[in-house]
Amino acid sequence: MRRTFKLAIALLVSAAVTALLASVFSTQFVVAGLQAINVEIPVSTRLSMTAADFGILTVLLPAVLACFLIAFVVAGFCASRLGGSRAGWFTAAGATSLIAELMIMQGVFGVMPVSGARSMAGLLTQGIAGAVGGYLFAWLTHQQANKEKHVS
Amino acid sequence: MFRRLLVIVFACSLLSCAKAEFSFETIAEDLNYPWSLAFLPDGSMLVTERAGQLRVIRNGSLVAEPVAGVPEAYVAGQGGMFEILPDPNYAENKTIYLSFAYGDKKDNATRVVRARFDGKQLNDVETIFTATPMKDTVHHFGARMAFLPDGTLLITVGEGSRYREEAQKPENHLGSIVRINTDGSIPADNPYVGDARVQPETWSWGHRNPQGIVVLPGTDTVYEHEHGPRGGDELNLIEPGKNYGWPAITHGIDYSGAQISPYKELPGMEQPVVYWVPSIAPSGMSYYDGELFPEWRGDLFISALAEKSVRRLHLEEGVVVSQEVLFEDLGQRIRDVRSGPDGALYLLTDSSQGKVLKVTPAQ
Repeated sequence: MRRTFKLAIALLVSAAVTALLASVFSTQFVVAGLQAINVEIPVSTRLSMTAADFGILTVLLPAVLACFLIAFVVAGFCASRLGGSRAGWFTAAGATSLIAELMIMQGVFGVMPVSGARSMAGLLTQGIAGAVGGYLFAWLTHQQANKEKHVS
Repeated sequence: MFRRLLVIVFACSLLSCAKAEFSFETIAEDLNYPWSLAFLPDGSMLVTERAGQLRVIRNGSLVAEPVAGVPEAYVAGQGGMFEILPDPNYAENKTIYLSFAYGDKKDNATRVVRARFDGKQLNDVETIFTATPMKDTVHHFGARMAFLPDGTLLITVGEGSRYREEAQKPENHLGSIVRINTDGSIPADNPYVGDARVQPETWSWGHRNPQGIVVLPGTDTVYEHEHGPRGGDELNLIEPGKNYGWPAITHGIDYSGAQISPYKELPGMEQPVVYWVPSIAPSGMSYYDGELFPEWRGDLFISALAEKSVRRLHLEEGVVVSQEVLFEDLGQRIRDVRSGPDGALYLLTDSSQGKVLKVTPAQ
């Protein structure tokens, strides 16, 4: 029970960090798109836009939680069965799951749900946000993983 | 107790009076997403189905066979067959103009053809406009058309959704209203003729997905409406060479809740006459100059998908002084609204079993 609780907290924290980064990154790409069409965006406006866009976390956080839940189960299985770097598995899982989720949603709805991910660079940046979340999850849970390894 | 009952009965009678204000007659049904309606001089009507067909309503009933010779539309997402528009001199030249989504999943665009209609099929079909560049999205084609008094043709082109910044680049057609001659050539007095940086067809730009355009009879006054994202639908007064701001300025936000732009206005960009938050999803527009509803003469009517209504905009000297929401009781997404030559209002419902409804005053 305690183990499950710790895993849940780690999942929530890593998903929250990823969602936050994903929102920040998306805003920067939207700003870049406006600047490319000669719209001036002063630093103060960029900061206020970035802060205002945190409103999407109410939608983004559950979406990231959902894809991390699946991805991290798979990553944990691969780490224990196939070996290699545990952090590497979870980092890759975080990155690929977020990119995959966004592409699936684009396919289903016909539009990219996160505007900053409309370009390949923007999409890959969302993957970086996912990677950070995956690495964080691995770090938060490595002690528990080591305990289980020694016991077995 | 008796007084309370009297109030209830009186209120109910008022309600029933309001509901009986209009009479609705189904002229045609089982249309696959009807998109546009046009009236011919002989009393028949043409209606497009977004699913790819052009149909005829003759003597009050839908002809079973679709019109033959219709070019193949790319039917996917919001794409398909769009607007049907008879030539101003149709009675002599039997010419119609048809807009549709052309292409495929990877390369598609808004295209317009003209053709002669012999009552059963289209002949001499000729492409007169294709928006550039091609895109790989199935959204935001625009595709409404209207004639200016000088016989030139205005065509709305959407920005393809994913390419919203292209609406600020008049070197392509995305997010523009274009003006061409009916043979596809460029009018010599287009605002950007001779400017190598701009597509010569460009008449105005900075639009998102314009699905309504009306030229007030006998004038050069052009009203256009366009879908906003989440909020920010607009009615604009269109003037040649002007920038209508999308996505640099908008009164809406992104569907995710994120900002599209921090600005609602910027120098050099036009403000809408009216904007709607939340969105009503404006989908068609007509100017009423009929006799059946004399109190409506001079008003604009805008069909709405999301609001499931028709908005009547009362204009005084070009200013919208009031709006009335009509036909909500139908509970239908309304794709188009047209003022008929008989003074009735005609509605198209947006459905795979869509209808053409004729609205007249209740007897």
